[in-house]
Amino acid sequence: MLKTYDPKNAAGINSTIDPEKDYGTPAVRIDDERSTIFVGLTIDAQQVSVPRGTSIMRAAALININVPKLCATDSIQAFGSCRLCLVEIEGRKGFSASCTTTVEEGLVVRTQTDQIAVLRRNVMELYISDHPLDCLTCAANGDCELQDVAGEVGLREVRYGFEGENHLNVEKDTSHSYFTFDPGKCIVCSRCVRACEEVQGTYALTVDGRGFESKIVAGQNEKFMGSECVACGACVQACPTASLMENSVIDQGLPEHSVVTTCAYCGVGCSFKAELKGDQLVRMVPFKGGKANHGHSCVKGRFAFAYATHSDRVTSPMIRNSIDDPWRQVGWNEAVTFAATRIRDIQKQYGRNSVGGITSSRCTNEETYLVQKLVRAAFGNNNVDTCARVCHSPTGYGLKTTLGESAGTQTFDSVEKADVIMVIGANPTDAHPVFAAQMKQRLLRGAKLIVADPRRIDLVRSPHVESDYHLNLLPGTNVALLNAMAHVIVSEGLEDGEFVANRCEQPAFERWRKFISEPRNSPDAMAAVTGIVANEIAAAARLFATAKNAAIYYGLGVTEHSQGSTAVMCIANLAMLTGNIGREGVGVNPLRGQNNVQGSCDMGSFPHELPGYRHVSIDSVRKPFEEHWGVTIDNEPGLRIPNMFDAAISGNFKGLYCQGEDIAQSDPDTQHVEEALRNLECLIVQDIFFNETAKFAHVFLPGASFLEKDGTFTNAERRISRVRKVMAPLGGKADWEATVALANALGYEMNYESPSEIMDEIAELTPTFKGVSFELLEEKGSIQWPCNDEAPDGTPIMHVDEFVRGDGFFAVTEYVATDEKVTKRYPLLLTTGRILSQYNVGAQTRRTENIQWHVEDVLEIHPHDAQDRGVNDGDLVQVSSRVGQTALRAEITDRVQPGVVYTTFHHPESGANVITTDNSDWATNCPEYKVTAVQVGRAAQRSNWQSKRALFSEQQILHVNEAES
Amino acid sequence: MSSIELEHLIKMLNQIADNVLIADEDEAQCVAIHVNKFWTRSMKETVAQYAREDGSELKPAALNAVSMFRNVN
Ligand code: SF4
Ligand code: SF4
Ligand code: SF4
Ligand code: FES
Repeated sequence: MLKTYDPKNAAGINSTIDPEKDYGTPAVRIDDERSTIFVGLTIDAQQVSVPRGTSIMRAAALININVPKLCATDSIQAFGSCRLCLVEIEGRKGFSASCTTTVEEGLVVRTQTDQIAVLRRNVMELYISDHPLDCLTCAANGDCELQDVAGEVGLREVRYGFEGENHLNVEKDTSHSYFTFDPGKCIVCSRCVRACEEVQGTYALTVDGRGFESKIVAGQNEKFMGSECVACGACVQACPTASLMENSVIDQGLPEHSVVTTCAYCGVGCSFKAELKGDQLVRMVPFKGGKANHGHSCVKGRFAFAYATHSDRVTSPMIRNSIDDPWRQVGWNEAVTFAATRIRDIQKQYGRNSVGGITSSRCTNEETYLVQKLVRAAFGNNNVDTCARVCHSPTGYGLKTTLGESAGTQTFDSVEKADVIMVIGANPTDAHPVFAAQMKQRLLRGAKLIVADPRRIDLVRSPHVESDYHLNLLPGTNVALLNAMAHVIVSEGLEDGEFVANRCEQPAFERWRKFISEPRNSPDAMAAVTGIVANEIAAAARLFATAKNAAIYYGLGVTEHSQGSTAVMCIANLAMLTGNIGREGVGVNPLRGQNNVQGSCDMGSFPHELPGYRHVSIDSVRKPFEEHWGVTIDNEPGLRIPNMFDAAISGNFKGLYCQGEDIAQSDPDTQHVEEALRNLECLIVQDIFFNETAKFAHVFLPGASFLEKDGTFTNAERRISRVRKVMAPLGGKADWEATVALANALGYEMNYESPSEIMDEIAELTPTFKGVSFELLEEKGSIQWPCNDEAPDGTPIMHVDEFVRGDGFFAVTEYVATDEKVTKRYPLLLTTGRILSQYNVGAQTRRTENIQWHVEDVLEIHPHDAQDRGVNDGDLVQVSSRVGQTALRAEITDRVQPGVVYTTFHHPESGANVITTDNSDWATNCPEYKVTAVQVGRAAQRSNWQSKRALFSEQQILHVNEAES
Repeated sequence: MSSIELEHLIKMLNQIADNVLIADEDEAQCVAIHVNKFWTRSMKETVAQYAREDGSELKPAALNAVSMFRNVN
């Protein structure tokens, strides 16, 4: 077959990349200008045309000529150390390493000659002479590139003998709970070192020594566990031998089949190959074809899956009359009938609106859709909400108001083209690690970084990456800071006037411009409020405004404030003002917390919106749903989660169906939440574990893990990806099947054979999902909505030619200080966050080996504040706010500034939310988790709440155990 | 109805009044538009009743918005 230069054809080569194949070296990056210039060459008499900068090895692999290799793999840059990949190039002397030699126009390459064969065999012989020949009992047997290459080059004898000096008996490093390092099997190819640098960006590994002495070391010659290693596993995946190997494979042997699915932890939505033996999950390997992660992952997705089969899983439905009674195990039928009867009785007594439901951001789109349908159609009201209420509801409101759609504007890959990156109120290396790794690589290649965060997050200073500005503002002053930046841009004329004139609503802009130009929004005026000197604010604003491409990434540190929605609008304003929207490299990028929080919002989980973010008061929006569902839908919004709690305390709200959500632990002001839950007469909890909320429940329905069901998740880039069932649900039903059973018991008929039918219904009723189907997902791998007639392949970048709302809208964003102010009594500000190894309320990660990275939540406190209070590192301290108190261990660190303390909320007994208050975002009621005025002092014992909780928990566990006996 | 619920509703409404001015319209009208979009009938009714009987803790724009609440007598 002859391949001549034809850009269309060449592009064809790119689009048919097989994610299962190793092409030896990576493709030329899209931000590299060479990626668009093609050159033609001849390899083994075949012609091929590839982008300039491509290696000969890759070019050959693209036409299926696979040159033997050991030190090269296509996730990292070539290094050229093993000399196995030698090829002959016409007109050049000697041999060239095909992994490090790039293509040139007209080259004639031969990859296989007698001479090359001898050379390769000699190289292999040397490798093997220092390698244990225990292949039959090696964990990598059958999955070892050294074995494969020995076969490929035809190695038949090893002349050197194994008696001399060798590395065969070096001690293994078994410090890590997920993988083992066996230096005896190491061929010092440095793939692991490069993976740690180029894929993960952590720089935990180095090659120590030279020649025969050289070896791989972690950290400062430490055990893996003691080094900077963040356990992403990229090195394990890159290792061609058994030197770095998953413990699960060492224990169980190699998997025999695999299924592509999507991580159920965070909003990055990494694609994985779940590798199994039968229905036993052996390992998770990030899938190279995944468009969100390109073959990378973090410690949670790759390693922390043992929770799925943990003995704590509750696998039988249970019911009880009162929360003081023991549970009774029953069949599904009895459980849903019991639940349905109670719900109907409550509605008879207290009215139609006295019950509601909470959908889960952990569940699939199809499941979420069904729960809101059950509430709207079977309960007959709009009292449905989702945990996004407590995280990104302000994103929904803010972006809908300004841009017209409640979603981020970009792909993750867009960051590859950003020149200035602003990260505000987000801690990507801990909460969105795989995206953070991609962002870091971009920073390493020269993009500038502005971090706005009260805490010195890792991105501010990590190996080879340092922020240009760290604006360490006081918690609660995001709006003040963002306004001041906009003020600088407007007053110095740095705005993109053309963009604003062409794309934005003029009267609104003029009004905003007048507002923002007022001196009260200047950096000088805001310096005192934010705690940042005016010059820093102005310099950061200039850097942002003058970049060719500037992108903003934000998280819950923006939304979880009394002005969360306002801050989101400030961000949208900044992006529009500087013309940074509608192309790659720019945009407004909310980093979503949970795996399917975008999806749960899309699916109509909010009490005022039907699927696709359309308001329930609009007749034409309700009509198709009413016709399809055969019911009348209330045209007034329903209760949001905090409103439900208030109504429960007043006695007007009595029944709740809560799927996959632990509101008793995750929602603020725990004592208020507990009071509300105690007031319910029917609480139905559906979860994989007996969680904190279940302790207040009357009906428990066993949930299914993401491995036990089919469906889809939608990540922070609006990317819809398949979740695939690899084992049967332990509790007998996937979550969607449980909802169907409950609906039918309520007398509202639901008949679905599979989640794909549910997706078809969603597509039929939701204009932005019109083109989505399981078939299309099968074909494309993943799709970013909107996906419809105008965009049949989905929409990677939004608002390209015009905004979804037509013209962009500049909202006036007046800074209003939160009520939560420091006082004499509560002189410190508490802010909260998360860490890499644990996930949210920790129900899953605490049930895996990840627990060793974070055995308890601690309180970070600045040395000055600690000294003032006589607190030493590791002391038990009492943290009190106006609503409650708890006790935690103190960690003294200057990561936090004086006056600010910080904790995480991964463990229920820490009670971080006993202290957080009922303050919330003005527009959405998203709780103000990020600002609580507290006092800290040494404590002799755990707090009252903690002791009470321990007692109550013990009692509830007894009640569960009684059910099982 | 607990006083906690009313307390929260008053606080929320005042907060909306402090923040909602995003367009050129009359402030009370902005508050009402927002409330009509996001509040349930019962929440609106509870505040409306309070506004009739007392109303002293509501900021002026919040108080003036009450008459524009949808589906509330
Ligand atoms: S697991 Fe990740 S962070 Fe740790 S050494 Fe390997 S590549 Fe580096
Ligand atoms: S541990 Fe594996 S990847 Fe690292 S140098 Fe050794 S053989 Fe290569
Ligand atoms: S980054 Fe998020 S989606 Fe990816 S593996 Fe980690 S937890 Fe899973
Ligand atoms: S693969 Fe090219 S030198 Fe090792």
